[in-house]
Amino acid sequence: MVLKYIVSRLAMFIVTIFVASTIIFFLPRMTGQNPLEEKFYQEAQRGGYLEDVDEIVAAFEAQYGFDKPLWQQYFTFMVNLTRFDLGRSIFSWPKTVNQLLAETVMWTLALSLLTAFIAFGVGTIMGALMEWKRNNTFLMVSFFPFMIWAAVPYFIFGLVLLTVFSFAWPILPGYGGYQTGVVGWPNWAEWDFLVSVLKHGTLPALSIILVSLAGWAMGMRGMMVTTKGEDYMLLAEAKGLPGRVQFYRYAIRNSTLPQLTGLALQLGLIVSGLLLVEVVFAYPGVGGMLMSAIRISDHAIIQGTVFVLAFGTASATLIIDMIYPFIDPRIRYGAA
Amino acid sequence: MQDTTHPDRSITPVGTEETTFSERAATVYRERVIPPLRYLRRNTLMVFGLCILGGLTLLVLMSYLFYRQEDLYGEIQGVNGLSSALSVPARVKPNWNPFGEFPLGTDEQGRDILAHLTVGTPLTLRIGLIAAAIGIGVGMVLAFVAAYAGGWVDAVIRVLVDSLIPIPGLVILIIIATSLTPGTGLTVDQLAVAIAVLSWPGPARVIRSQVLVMRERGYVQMARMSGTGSLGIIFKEMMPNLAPYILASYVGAVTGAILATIGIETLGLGDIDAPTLGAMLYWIIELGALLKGQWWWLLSPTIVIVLLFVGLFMISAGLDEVANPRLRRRV
Amino acid sequence: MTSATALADAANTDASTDALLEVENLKVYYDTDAGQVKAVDDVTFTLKRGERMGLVGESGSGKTTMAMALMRLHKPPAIIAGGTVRLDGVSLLDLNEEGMRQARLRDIALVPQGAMNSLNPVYRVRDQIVDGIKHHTPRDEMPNKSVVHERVVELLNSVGLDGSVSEMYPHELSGGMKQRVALAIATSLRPKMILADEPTSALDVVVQRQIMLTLEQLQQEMQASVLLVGHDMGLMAQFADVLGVMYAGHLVEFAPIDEIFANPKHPYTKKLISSLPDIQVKGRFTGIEGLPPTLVVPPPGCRFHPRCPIYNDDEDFRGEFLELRGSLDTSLCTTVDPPLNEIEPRRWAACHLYEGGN
Repeated sequence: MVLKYIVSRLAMFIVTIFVASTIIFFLPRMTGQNPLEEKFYQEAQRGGYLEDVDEIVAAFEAQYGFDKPLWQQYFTFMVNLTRFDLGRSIFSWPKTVNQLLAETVMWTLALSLLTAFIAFGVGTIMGALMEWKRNNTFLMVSFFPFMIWAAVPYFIFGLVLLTVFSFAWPILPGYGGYQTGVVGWPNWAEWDFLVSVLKHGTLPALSIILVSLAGWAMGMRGMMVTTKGEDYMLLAEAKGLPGRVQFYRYAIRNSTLPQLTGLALQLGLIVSGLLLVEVVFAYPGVGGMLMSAIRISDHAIIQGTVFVLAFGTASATLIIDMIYPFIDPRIRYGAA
Repeated sequence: MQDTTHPDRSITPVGTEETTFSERAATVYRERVIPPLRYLRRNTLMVFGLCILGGLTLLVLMSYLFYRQEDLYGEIQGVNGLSSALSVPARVKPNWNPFGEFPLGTDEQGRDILAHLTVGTPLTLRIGLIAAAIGIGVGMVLAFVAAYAGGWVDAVIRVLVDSLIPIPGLVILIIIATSLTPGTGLTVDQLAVAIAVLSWPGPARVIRSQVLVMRERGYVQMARMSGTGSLGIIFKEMMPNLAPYILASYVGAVTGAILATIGIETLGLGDIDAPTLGAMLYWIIELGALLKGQWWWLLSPTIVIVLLFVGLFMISAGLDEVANPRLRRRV
Repeated sequence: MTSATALADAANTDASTDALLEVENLKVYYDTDAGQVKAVDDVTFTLKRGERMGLVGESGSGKTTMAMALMRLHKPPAIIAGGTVRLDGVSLLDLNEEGMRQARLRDIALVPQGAMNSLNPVYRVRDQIVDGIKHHTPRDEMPNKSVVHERVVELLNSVGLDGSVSEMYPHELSGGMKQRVALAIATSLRPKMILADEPTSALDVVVQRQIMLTLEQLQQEMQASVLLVGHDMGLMAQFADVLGVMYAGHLVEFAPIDEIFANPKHPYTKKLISSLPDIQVKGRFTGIEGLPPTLVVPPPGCRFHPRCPIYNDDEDFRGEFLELRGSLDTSLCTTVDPPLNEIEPRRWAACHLYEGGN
């Protein structure tokens, strides 16, 4: 039964990737724009000669396979994706999109995983405590700022943090992923470099952590209200279980299930927010790369990046789906 | 079922004896007006949210009165089509802080920030309201079709919804914007439509599962047995009970849509010359307002955006309490 | 620790007096927006060791609220506004949190109302039986796994379940099985007192009977006292030794079960019993006509008087009460709340009919 569940989730994952890559392939082609032509005419105009442009365009189109029928292009595109071949950049020719992504993806991955774990973990516990210890002043008082934080988009909060801690009271850098202009950097073996990376990461990380922590806390608090009313909570207390056992083994454990569903459903939003934070802080991650690709209309990079982001989100959803049977026996045994 | 004392139980029967109009009015007032108000008093979150959005609306209205019509929307002047509105560049002296003749100062490109906000806030809100309305409409239709048709139709819709939910919406918007209008960005209306296209899966998911639950309820079964048609059941029996869920989904969708417009515009993929809140942020970041110490340029749109989101969030949390009675405090 | 030994001492010294649970003037109030609700008001009764007491009343009469307050499981906005609860001589309301926690399950155990949802869906039955035992046993005295497992199997067998149930999750069990597991949990530490709050309300009749029989067996084997809260008068007639009747937060009658059925004293009990089709077969507590009063603003004087057949001089009830009715000063009914008096040996009722002197 658990096998059936795993297979259905895997199928869902594949469908998601399929839908995403189909959108990525067809949307740009539906508009009739030709990125190559545009690019070369721009370049040519800038350079002042226009003679051979058509031939150059044709040559490149052949290179990209744009001269083939659409269905064939689509087929090639999908086949390449299965090998994770995202093609080559138009502007940074002949660098592959994979090469470019390799430089940025780790930054984004580190930032997102770190912030997600801290925010989800701490936020969940805090939200649970807010409802559990209703007479704790600190938790009661923190309700109001949490309510506001939870509502604000990451990058807006990031702008506020930037203003305060980078300009009004400049204690933290607000631009880039590390100190630029130092010879030999990035060098991960050097202590000073790591310190610089941490310093530069603080504000982007904080703007995500504080906002989503508050969001998870508010969500968990609501969930706890429901859980506290469950019959098994009454029996847990009547059994004479100590408060901490009631809290961790009963209340938190059972509220975490819907909380995880919430996480899975919000991953798309979280990734969208992350991109904007990277742009605000000019962070050297995928968001920044996407932004510069948009500026120069490098569709190969845009498509590749978007695919990687969709793939990452879908994978994260799949991972959460795989965690689920471990905490809920009803899924493990095929019920509900 | 333990049922501790219910304060509202003593409902007086209406119309059994001759009643005067004032008595009837008093009864209606007591039974139809007081309970919602009393409920609202307990649902503090919703009240706060409504107050915040109401206050924001009031501020916008007040600054409408503050300006002349042509200062806000402008008249096209001369052959080169320049607008006279204060929310377009180069209309006022740039870089004035709020302590001068302009209440919120002016930006680097010579816009009156208050005029910009007065025009931009409703514009951004409008994108959100329209996109979310379309999204909810599509989502609702799909939800009902899926729940009622069942079988493979339901399966297809469910798989489609589930496969779209994990794809980051902003990322798809980027693809749309960069391929549809490379270089210029989406106009305000295009943006609204593009966001609408992306905002139906969430509501469709929520409403579908609610319809499935509700279909098994006694009153719906009763209606079916007494021969009410599907549409009749949907509109007469289900809609009133779905209303809180739909409303909550709508507020959520509005929040998501506004977030998406502001996000996509901040990336410079919207109409960067339209006086929206997102375009404002684009220029603030693009021109490095913070580096130059122009804090007032960032301050006022940030406050407006924060208030907007906080208000919407509180209303949706309040609606959650209505839709999910278990969240309601007991007694 | 101290409370546990105190309870043990009390058990030794008080063995002569056979009162196990003594409730005196217990008051449980709800503070609501609409005002203070006296959900349980001045309830007094004594339950003997090994005795089975039934407690009936309409929804909202305060019976469940009172039962929960006995274990201090009441939730805000309910507060215990006064009174004492002594279990085997130990005042439960004076215990500190830890002492009360220790007393739960070990001395007074609950068989909960919502059988269907009372077990935690994410743990195996075994773990849910063991955690109660574990947190009432000092760590160094906790037996090893195989002994614990044997104990679990033994408990499951004692409630009529197979030992293999210990490895199952709640969603794999039927409603009756879940309630049996709840019984196994409640009896795992052989408590002196079992509080069963409508333990069979969600089950079908056959399963109900079986569960009650099991409860009775366990109770007799352990010589525990039982307080059974419920609706079902037929069930009470079969199970209980004594019966308490609650109305609008008051205990209005308390007496041995056969006497109460043969000769109810309080007009409410009277009406209740006469409304049963045939108690020997099976009588669901259908209640009597009229609505229970709101406890925010209870009727003045006796809370029952607006529905009282005696006060309202209902023809069907004239017969045996006629004599008493003659000497009743009905103005008392609307002004003075009658206290619960012992009107005959072992028979308590709260009604002005029996205040002969006045």
